[in-house]
Amino acid sequence: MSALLQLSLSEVAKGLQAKEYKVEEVVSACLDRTVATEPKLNACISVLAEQALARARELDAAGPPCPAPSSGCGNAGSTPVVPVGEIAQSLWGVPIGLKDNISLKGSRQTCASRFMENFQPCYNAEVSDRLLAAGAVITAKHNLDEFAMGAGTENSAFGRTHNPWDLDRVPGGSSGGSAAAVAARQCYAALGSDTGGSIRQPAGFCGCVGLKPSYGRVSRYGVAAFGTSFDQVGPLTRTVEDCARLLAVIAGPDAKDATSARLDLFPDNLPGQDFVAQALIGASREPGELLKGLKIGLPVEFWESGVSAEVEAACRDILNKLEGFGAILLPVSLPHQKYALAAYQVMSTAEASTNLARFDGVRFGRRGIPSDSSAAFDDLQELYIASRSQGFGPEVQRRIVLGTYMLSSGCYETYYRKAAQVRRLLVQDFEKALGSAVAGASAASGTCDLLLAPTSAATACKQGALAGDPLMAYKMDLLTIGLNLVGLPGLALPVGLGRESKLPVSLQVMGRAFDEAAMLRLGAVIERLAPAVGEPGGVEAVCK
Amino acid sequence: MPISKESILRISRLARLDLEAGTKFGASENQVEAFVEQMQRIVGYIDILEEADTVGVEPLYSPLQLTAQSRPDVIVQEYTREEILRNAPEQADGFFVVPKVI
Repeated sequence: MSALLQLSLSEVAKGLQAKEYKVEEVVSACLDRTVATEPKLNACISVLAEQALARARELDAAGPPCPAPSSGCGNAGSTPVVPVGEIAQSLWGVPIGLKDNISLKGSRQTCASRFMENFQPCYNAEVSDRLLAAGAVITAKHNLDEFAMGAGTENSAFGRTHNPWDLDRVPGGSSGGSAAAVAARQCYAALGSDTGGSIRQPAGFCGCVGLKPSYGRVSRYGVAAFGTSFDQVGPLTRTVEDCARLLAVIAGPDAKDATSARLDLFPDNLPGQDFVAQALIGASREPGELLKGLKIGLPVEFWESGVSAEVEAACRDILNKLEGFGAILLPVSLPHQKYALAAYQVMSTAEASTNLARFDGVRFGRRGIPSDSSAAFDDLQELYIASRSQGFGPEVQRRIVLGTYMLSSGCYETYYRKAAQVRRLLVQDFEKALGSAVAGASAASGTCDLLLAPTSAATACKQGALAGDPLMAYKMDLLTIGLNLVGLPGLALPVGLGRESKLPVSLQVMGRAFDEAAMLRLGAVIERLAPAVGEPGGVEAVCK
Repeated sequence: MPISKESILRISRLARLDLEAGTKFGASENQVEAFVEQMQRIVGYIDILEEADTVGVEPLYSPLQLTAQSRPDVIVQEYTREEILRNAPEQADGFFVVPKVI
């Protein structure tokens, strides 16, 4: 494996800016690594080799951006096209992957569904535009559970993805392709989507850093909708600093997404936006200076939810270290957490059934064939039914039917409205624990600055372990769905390997709304205190 | 609230899905039975919501507590007809083609 691939995103970006190596070298190293590992991992649905190399050559020809327009450019005589700021070109030349439910012009967007296997979007998702504007090179579209519905990347029309730590295990899901690719060094980072844990849980299973931003922090424009009031796009990376750099690029309001938050309208409550600076502070200052007096809440409902002994032990090691440096650990209670999974199932499937109504086989996607294949469809209804029944996999059909049921007359009050009430109660639980769920508001005494809990109760399970038991599969998200219901941010961090399984264990930092900066600062401290997970062994054993 | 196989099949039709038609494309009758049984277990689990005391609680349908934004109501042409039709499974003369409706 090329030494370039051992670098973090932040390191390789720095080297590229300093012209220590060409973009083409870095992109080629990633593509070679992808070719070598894909037969074992199946992390990608589309590898964008040609486009990525063409863009790499363009970037090399133009030369790296200047730090400031006045300081003179590498291209003698030419005028800098745009004044480049810190963020403007922070990903210049860096290979990054996208989960295949995020649209990128010029490549198909399958959502891992047979229905969409040939769909070619005619526009970029807002996050794709922002990555490209920051100079990134998109190298692959990553595998996922069909329409992001699943916890193991086993529900894909393009085959399952394997965990690079142990090829017989799941990488988590639904952003399992992205997590596996980042862990196996196919790319330096990826963007995934998180509706109930789909960034954090696979990041945890693969030993990556994964961030679900606050609801409204990142535009959802151009991302195939699953649960509209739950979905957020976020980074999967190998370090906290990398995660901060990627968030800095994709965060911010977008007029094309009415739910993207206009934080500028609330200047009094505006929390720090300096993600990278805070991550660097966390990585460099004395831990004692940062941790002394920091109030960290431990939600008992999370810690007492059947967490495995090895996950508990690895997480407790970190808690002890944090306490040793002066952090104050406080048990807190989120009493409505016990209803969270049920409320999530009701509301997310209801939203999914509505969102997936547009897949009808008329305007795009795969049209079904009549049951008597020699005849034509009798009417439009039959076309809809055939297209949907043949195009969607079993898990997607299950969630559509469940969601339609939840919204049907007679069930709406019993389930949907009830779940929405529980959702508010859970928000109140988090507000009580965090003083205020809104960042910047003064916290009452006795409440916490941040919360910590395991990301998942156990390390990655064997493939097929959840087959035929969807309820068990849904429970994989038990510790992550709460934040999606309440819209708060969560950061999953590797904290070493489980002593029995030798697989990555992940700790989740939870914070106030739009206070990702504080989470990244603590995350960077934890990253220093935790044993490094190293490189995944499973894929190394077979892909020297 | 228990849910019967009949209601699951009826609801599926409302969602424009035909679980039984799937049998013509490789699914077996057993798979329909398994689907029904799984749905019943999931709904059974969701019934835990009944326990929650929600009297007087205002439902929360979206976590966005900061005002959502609106944009100026102006018409912009972002895509051409050709671009939009490119993904259509069947098209003719600039239109989507569907089976006879009336």
